[in-house]
Amino acid sequence: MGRTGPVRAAFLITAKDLRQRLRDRSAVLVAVVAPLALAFALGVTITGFSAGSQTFHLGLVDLDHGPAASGFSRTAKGTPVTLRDAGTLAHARRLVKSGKLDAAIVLPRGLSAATLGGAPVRIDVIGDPKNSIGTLVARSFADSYASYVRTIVVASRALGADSATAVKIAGEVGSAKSPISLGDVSTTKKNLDPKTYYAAAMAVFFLFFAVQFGISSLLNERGEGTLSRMLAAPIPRRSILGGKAMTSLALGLTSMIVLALTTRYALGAHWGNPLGVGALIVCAVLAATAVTALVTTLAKTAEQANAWLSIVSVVLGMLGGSFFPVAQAGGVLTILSKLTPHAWFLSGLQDLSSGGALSVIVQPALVLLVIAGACGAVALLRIRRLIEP
Amino acid sequence: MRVLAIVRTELTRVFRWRANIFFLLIMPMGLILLLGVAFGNSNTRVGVVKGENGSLARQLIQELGSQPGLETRSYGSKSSLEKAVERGYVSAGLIIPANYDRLLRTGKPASIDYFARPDSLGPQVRIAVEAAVSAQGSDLTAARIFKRTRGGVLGSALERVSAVKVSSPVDVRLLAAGGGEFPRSKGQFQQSASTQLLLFAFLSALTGGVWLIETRRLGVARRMLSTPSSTREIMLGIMLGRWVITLMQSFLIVVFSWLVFSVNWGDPLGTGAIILAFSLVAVGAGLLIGTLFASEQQAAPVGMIVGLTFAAIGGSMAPLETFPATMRKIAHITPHAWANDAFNTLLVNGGGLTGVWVDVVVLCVYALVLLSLATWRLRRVLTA
Amino acid sequence: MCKRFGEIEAVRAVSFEIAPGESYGLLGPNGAGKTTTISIVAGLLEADAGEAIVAGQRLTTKSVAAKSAIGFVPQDLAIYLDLTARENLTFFSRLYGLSGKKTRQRVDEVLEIIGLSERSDDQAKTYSGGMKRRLNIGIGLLHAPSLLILDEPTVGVDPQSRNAILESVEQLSEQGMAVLYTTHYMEEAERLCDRVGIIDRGELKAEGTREELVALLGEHDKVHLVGSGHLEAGAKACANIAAVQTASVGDESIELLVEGASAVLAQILTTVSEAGVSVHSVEVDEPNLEAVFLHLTGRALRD
Repeated sequence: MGRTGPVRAAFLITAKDLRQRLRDRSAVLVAVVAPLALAFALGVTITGFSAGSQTFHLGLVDLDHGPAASGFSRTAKGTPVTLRDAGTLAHARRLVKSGKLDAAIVLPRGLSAATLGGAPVRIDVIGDPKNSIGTLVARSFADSYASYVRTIVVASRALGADSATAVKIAGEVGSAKSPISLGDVSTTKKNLDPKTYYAAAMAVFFLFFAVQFGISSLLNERGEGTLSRMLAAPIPRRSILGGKAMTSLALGLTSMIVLALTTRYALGAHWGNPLGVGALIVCAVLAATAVTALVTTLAKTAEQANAWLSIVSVVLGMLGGSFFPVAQAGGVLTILSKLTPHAWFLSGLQDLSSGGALSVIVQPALVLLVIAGACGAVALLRIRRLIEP
Repeated sequence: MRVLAIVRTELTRVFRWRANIFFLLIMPMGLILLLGVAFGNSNTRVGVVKGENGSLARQLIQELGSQPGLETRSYGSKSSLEKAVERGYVSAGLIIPANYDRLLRTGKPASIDYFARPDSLGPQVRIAVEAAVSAQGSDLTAARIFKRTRGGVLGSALERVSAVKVSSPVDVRLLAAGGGEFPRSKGQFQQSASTQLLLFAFLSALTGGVWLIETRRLGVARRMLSTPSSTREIMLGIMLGRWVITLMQSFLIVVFSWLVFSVNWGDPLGTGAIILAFSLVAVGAGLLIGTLFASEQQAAPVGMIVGLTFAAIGGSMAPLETFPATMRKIAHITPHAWANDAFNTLLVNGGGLTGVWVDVVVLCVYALVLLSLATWRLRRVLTA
Repeated sequence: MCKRFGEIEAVRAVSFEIAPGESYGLLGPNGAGKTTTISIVAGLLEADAGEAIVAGQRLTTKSVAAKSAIGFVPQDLAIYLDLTARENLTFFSRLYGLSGKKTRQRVDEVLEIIGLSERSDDQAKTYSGGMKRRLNIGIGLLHAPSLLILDEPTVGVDPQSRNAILESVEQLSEQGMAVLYTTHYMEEAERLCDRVGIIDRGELKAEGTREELVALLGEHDKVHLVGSGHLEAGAKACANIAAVQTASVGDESIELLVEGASAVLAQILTTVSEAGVSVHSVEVDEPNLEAVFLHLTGRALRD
């Protein structure tokens, strides 16, 4: 009979591999389901704290029985805090413990007097350690009230005012707007959006698992004897290698593209300029394939290869920031992080997603290609061992 | 006893594989090490861009730096600060406008942009920043009032006001509802040690499911069935083996983090109870997965997905407290949430076994359900 | 050909020729070097010395065109268990250059030959052991190779499937395909192969047709008759039979050296009875390939 051209042979092998992988669904699980599930889970849980998202129910225990309480209540207007009278201290504690209140604020006796220059007092904020955010909100409230009192006292002291004037000053301070306003613009910064970060982080983490199915299946086939068949067939060895490499590339690209699209449309992640994202994805897939190939050539059996590949993927993922930001660690860890493809992919993506121009991806893309080239070259040198019956 | 024989074989098989030693022991310790180094620093960094560097701006930055647990870092431009926050070099960024001093000294309002990474420290950093800002705002307001009353220029009013030495007339103290002082912030690392423990124990036990598949595939399980041991005894043996391994792993994490990073694990009885119960749940889940899938190529990724997803939803990646209210309720589908709650009680409240027994009981129920399901499935599959 | 693995010389100066349409058996015990030899012929291993030439073309691990002339059926099953028989066959046929309609035709043909037409769309993992073996062979046939190499195809196979396999190989051989068949079962070599090469410890000890090999023994069948009566007369009478080389009388027995005893045994028995011997028992020692092997190597073919 005849023979088939080397390129066609490689494609035939890729097609067969993909058919097998689709059939046992493992590739789909690893390449698509896993990253999606995780990106989703992380995206909905890590939404960060933004004051406008929740209403906090705070209780007030007024031991002062003076005008301070109403002053306090007035400050609550227009904020996501509702204040209600919590009666006695004991009652307030019970309400906080049972979760009916996020926290309680105890206005001590002599608070109103302190405002007019009396002895210093202390506001107690009662919170539940399980609800630290509620407690912090209450604390923030108490702090701003303390600051308000301080302003009055300082102004009065500076003016040498008596208590009557102090009352007027109190009124002025109460109605004065703070000269400095602190605006939380976190949510406008797309690059800080955790959904995007985790979508990308999970995509690149699972990429390394997805591409395993290509090159390391050489070891599987060797164990099962079908590699011998391919070697006995009239196709050059490089077709076998090429076919397997293409399987890795196909799986990796599919995985990342599906993830990028799904998280963009279903989760609202901002990936940035599609061209840039595409380029970064291609470079990351090449790097992942090369790294996988290198590790595979170092293993002797399929089991060993799978184990080592999993270890390498997890270690690189952790160091590269797929699970938590490593950058703040500084020192050795930052250096180690820069050795991973994950870190470069994520940093390029962050720059793109914050609206950077296409040129921002040049450096990360180049680094990824260098990693791909270096690992790929070493792998090719060792690959001969792999393709033996 | 037959069960012990099965346990011994399981343990031998698992540890014969060096890769397992990595996954089960080295990796979690490595992760704790990584986390410890990355987050052990107890000071949170806030980056600042300070515009023209006027005296008020400098004062604000000083005030910020004097907040407990905060340190500031200067950046030259908005974009470099944004990048730093993005990358995580600093937790939050503050942009003081260039004309800050000018605006304030002429009595006009100034606004500062604040942005932060959405991590667990966010709220605390925000509070501290607000405190620093309001301290300066307080002086300015007082100065304005002074100026309005006595006339003159705002600058001298400010000086007059700043000269007033007054200690805070109102102090704020945090108390815990159950009594005693409110526990001080744990710091990110202390917090993550326990949650990571849960993540790993669960994940690695899930891979135990893959071993069950191997056992099935090798026909060993069938062979075991033909011996006088009942299915229940077989499951018991395998389960005990896996439980021992998971416990070993947890123990290592606890001891390692305590020795190297002084992580406080609270009351030993309480911690022990939580770990025992949670490990059992993990083993049950792993075995159930092992009985549900025919090939390890499918079971391994499913195990990984379930392990990581549950960990994320259950508060082992980002802490439960930062979850929106509804998510927090949903989180309690996962055993992680209950265990995390229990650890929180132990470590934050300083509670003991009595404080966490409800959570432990819930975990035991989980374990019972999962193990029963796994045994039932195994019997069905093996005798099919 | 020579092939060495580290310290071990797996194949030492093995040399043989197979004519077109001839079936050649490589007979030897486990570890003799059979698999190594045919791995070299199939282009899976590179020989340290010597070369393989198939259909006029030199065949090495790197050759591509020359491999089209070979069909390979490895000893261990080399099929994709998660693909159907049809998918397995289609994939390999395409690798061998078949395309489109021709592929489908040929695949159907082969499915027919190996008897898997009905189960062709079930995944191979659902097949019985025998069916898997048949698929294993089928893949080797796809491209109608000039030389079909089978490496111990019946090891561990149930008797029914084994017979089926042997029949298929016979048919192929009759159809004109050259076959290189390795085995450690003497009966298979005797049944299937035109010529047999006896290999042991990496060396080809002898080769030739069955008769040629047996002739190496230099002995003929020994026929041992235990009986009573006129033994002398019986022996003399036997000596007159053409095939009987020598006849001698022993202790209540007649010893004959016969060429092809099985053919003349009936005649011998009749002769001795007529001569007045009453036969109690007959023993015939036929030399066969196992005996040849024993003679050549001092060891048994099967352990």
